[in-house]
Amino acid sequence: MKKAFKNYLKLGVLLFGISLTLVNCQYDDELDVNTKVIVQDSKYTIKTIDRVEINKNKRIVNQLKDVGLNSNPKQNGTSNKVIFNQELNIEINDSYAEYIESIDGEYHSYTFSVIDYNDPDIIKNLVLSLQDDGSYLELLLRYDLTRQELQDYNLYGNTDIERDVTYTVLDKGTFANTIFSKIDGSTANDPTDDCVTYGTSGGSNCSGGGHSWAQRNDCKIYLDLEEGTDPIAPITTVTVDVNCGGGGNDTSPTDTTGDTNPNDTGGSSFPDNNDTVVTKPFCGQTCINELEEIDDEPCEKIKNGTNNAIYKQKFKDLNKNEKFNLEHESGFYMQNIGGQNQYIDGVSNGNTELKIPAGSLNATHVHNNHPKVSPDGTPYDSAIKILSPGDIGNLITKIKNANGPTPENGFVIMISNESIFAISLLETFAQTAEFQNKWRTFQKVYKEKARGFIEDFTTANSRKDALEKMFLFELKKLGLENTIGLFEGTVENETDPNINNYEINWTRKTLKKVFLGYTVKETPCN
Amino acid sequence: MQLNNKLTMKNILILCCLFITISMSSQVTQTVPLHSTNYSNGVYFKDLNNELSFLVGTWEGELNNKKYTFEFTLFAQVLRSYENDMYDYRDDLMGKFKVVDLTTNQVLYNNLNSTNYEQYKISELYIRQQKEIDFLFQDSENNCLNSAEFKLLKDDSNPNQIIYKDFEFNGFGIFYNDTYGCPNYQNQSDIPMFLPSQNLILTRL
Repeated sequence: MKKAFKNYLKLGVLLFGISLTLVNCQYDDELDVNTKVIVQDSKYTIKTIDRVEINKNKRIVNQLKDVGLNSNPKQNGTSNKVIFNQELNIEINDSYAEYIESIDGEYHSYTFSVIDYNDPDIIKNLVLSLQDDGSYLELLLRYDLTRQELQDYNLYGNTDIERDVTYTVLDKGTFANTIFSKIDGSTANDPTDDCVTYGTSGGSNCSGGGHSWAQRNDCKIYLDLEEGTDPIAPITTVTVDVNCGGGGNDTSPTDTTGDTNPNDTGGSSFPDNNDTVVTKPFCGQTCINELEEIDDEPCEKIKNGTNNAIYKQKFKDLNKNEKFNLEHESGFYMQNIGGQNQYIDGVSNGNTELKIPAGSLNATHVHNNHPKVSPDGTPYDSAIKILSPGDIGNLITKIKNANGPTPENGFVIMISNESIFAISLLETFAQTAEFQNKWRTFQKVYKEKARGFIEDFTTANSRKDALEKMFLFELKKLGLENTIGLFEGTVENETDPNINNYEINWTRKTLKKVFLGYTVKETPCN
Repeated sequence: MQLNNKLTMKNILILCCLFITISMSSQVTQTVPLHSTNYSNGVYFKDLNNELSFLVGTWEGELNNKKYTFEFTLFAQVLRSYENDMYDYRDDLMGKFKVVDLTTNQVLYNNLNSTNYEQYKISELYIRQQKEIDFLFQDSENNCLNSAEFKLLKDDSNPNQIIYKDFEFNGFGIFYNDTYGCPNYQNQSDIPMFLPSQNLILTRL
């Protein structure tokens, strides 16, 4: 009996130990992506694999390590989550990869997403492509396409994006040493050369044709699918002939087979490994999430709402030191009175905040300075110069209601001596019973964070950056990250007496998950 | 006897599994000072420098013929759960208070009988130079989540005294029938507020 008890105890301790190991990895954001997408056509199997899967191929691991170790002695952390080259300001995300394997198992490639922080809007991929000798060809691909276009290609197989793909073949194992000269594409192919082939196969079509993937909900009958079943995305591949057009450094000069097209049905079923790289545009999980969030329409709404001369004049009148130095907020709101939209100057709510009455379609106000003195006698400004929880409350209730069927037209703008910010509704908001409790916590946490930032960050810019990140993060914690859009405003031609030349420019701010936390992405509202 | 032992073993095993499950679901991933800038999930904002404990206890002061009694309690490692499976922990210094009219001896306000974290209406926000603590007061839904802030300043010359100062109204309004506002009161200044609006000295009891 004693023995049995001991065994159970051992088992318990063992399970506890295992649990601790699991817990240590539980919040490792990069490890929670499992192999998740598997598609297959007659030639290739394509799947997104995570690092556990990648690590099974030691050769790949070593090749990636070379990139990290040689290029960045201050590699972040010890977990080798991201291969970060500090000098070039690029990251190669080795947390997951797009793995493409030929059906016969003779060929495969790994595609990793690369973020170039000097040019974050450009999609870059590092492709490690199997060669006949078992080594991997390193190819750096640059897609001069918007993320939306790439997503369209990956999801719908739109092939009208076949343009402006440049690639650079890197010397095997010397990526780190040669990247300086090659990252800018100076040795890349001429994009007009016919070296890159896009392939699309499989997927589902609506009966009658003319239906896109995006229109799948309008399509009642799908070919090859049961009624009511969603169509499946086509299989999309990009094939690069590395010996074509003189692009890149030919690493396999002896090869002359020249079979480049994976969809080519003649001759060999599969491309020649040494000449051809099969990949798929891959911008990683972060990119996909980001695509879902970015939408141009909110930009248009804010721009349209703030670019008329009457609005601009009222905005200009608020954007002054004399307003910032008042002891209370000042501002105006727009209401529809007698069928006409009118701007009305606001009054205090009985204390220092501006009262936004029901029926307001939008509101613009100043967060006035709030001078204080710290215990050691240092003066500081305790005003929080970003939109407050109260501003959010007004947007998602009064202003939303006033805008009726078009709540997205509503916005609240805050002007201060350090920053201009706006929020607008991206989608309609419906309260739930638990929202009040969440709101109470949100208010408290918002103030905890903001109070620290306004004193710990000593410059207006650093304060602004910290506050906008905090604001977006707290919105996410409140579950409103996709409901409320944040914009930063800047003013052009501020002193021009002609109000038509006074320009308010907006930049959309979104929270972006990066490999070691979050960053704020800026998207100008052009 | 053997059956009983088997059952006991089973229970131990179940308890082990339960413990493992609980320990995995809301694990502290990192411990950082109270006012750190940290966006990691599961982070614990801990009073590492023991800055909050000096306020724990009961403090009393008089102003305009009213007696104010404040009680502060330190709730260690309070779990705060958010949307998107996000959570953190924090050492929270929470307060409650009572106001008595000294002329009539009438209790004007009293929430000293609160015991749960959620019932406390005063919470610490920020510690400035290890001397001055900002507090947030959040009223109930009946009072439209009326909120205000004040500071407590340590008196270096007397550890049994603190200065209550800089009372200011904050935002107010609740979500009520899809509106954000206050159905019972037109203006914030109409909502009953029992915190002292002027500075006063509080003495430790």
